[in-house]
Amino acid sequence: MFNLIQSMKQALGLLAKFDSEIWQIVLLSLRVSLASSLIAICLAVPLSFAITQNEFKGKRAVIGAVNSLIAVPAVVIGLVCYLLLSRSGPLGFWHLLYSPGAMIVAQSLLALPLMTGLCISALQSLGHRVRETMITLGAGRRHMMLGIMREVRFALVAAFITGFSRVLGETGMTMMVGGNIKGETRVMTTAIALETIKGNFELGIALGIVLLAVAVGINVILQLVQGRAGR
Amino acid sequence: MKIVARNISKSFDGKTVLEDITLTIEKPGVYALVGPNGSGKTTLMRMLALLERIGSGTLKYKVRDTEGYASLNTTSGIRRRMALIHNPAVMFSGSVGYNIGYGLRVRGVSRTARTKKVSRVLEHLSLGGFENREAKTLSAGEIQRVALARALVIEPELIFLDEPTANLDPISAKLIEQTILELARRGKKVVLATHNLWQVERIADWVWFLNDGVISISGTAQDVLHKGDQAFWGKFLGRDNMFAGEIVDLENGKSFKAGNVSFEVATDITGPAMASLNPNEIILSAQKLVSSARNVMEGMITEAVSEGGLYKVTVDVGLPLAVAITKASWDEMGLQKGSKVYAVFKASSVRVWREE
Repeated sequence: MFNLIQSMKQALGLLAKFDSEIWQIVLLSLRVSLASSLIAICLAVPLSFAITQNEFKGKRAVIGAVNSLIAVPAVVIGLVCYLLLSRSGPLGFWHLLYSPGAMIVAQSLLALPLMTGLCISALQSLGHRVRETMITLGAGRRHMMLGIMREVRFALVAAFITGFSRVLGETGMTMMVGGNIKGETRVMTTAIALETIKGNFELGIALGIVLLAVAVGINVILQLVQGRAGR
Repeated sequence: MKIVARNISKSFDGKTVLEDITLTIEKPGVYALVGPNGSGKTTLMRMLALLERIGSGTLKYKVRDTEGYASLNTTSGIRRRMALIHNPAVMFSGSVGYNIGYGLRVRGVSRTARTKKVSRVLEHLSLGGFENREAKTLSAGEIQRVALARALVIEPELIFLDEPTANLDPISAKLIEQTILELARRGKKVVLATHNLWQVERIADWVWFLNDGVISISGTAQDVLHKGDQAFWGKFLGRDNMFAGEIVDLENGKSFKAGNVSFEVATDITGPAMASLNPNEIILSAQKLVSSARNVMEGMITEAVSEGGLYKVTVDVGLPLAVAITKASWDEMGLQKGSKVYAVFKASSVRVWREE
């Protein structure tokens, strides 16, 4: 108990004096997760449009596959990324393994099915009549896409936030492809895991507080967005 | 713009929903696709509006007299000359102004011109001052009017309306019918899918009757509705207040007798006949009215069903008489099941025809 209180005090001290190591880790975490979430949403939106707005054979199977991919464990994605990006792997020439780039690739792949699934649900819930109404009012493909995006904008933001919070809290996969290299690829989750094993509770707790604050903040925003979407 | 459909058919999952449809839409006016639910009228309208692909046959659009017919793969230009209004219509999130201006925005109309056109069309449909209202919070009648305004503002040559006044309050319904008539007068073509025969009678110039995916009757509204087999219409469309009976001569007029009940009618025919009475043309009163209406029948309310802004009331006058009254009237008169009322209607409101 004494250790916990002591560690808490030290952790708050580290945060209060803006310890550079902590803030570097926090910033890298946010940068990597934000980049991967942006890449994923940029792919998820057109992908979900292509799936929902067109009629083709196997459409239901494709939607089923997207939903199944959401359940793939992160560590499996980490393993696949590792094999692809390792020096002897097919994408080894990118020299990305153990770099923030590798973490972004893996986190994008983790967020993509989740965001695509959420975007598909949002577009499906809109129904075909909105699209038809736009067509009958003379909207071309571009105007129709923009109009539909406007209709589901809150759901799209919610999909982005959900994906972002998923990748921000990811540990094992990020460690596998990033390597948890101090000053290079160490992010909040991997640092907390490492420092806890080492017994450096104060650093772990300090980062835990920031991660918790970010997670709670994201959740609050998500609730607000979903509240607006439901109105 | 002219539409020519030749022998078009359509199936969904092996089930034929439309078969061998041939029709032409050329002259300005109101065209009604009439038929019971599931007869294919909405599918046909969607195909004509290029929202649904035809299964077989040909569907041609002639845009200008000097041009040839356009085929289905050059649809964008044709689409922009048409508009379709669903019921219930879909409102985009945002203001009424945004909704109405949508078609203009996709056509690249400037903001100033858009604002002007939007407020003009709003005034026209008695929606003045609605620009900034949240569209999704409007009542059903207002939504339908906004949808009509949204279609009219782009000045289409041809307007498709699916059940335009179903479940609407009487004021909105009347306004929409008036607008349809005005559009036809201004040289537009209006195609409506409906199963409201009274509406067809009021506003349609041409009628196609669809049954099981086939156009079984077509002709001018006058010919089809007044000279056709009325019992057939009643059977298929569930026309209210259809009675079989006999027309007998009175000293100074004619009376329709069905069992123990009789009411005055204005007709030349005598003998076995059918009579029908529009529920909207019957007045309910708590006291016996003295008026020019020839028929005042005492009865009791046996049923009242709320439909949109109306109550559809059944009054037992010896025959079950369907009467449509507004909710406001129902409340103000303090009516309820079992209330004693008088049903008042003019002899000329009763349509009669010889029983085949």
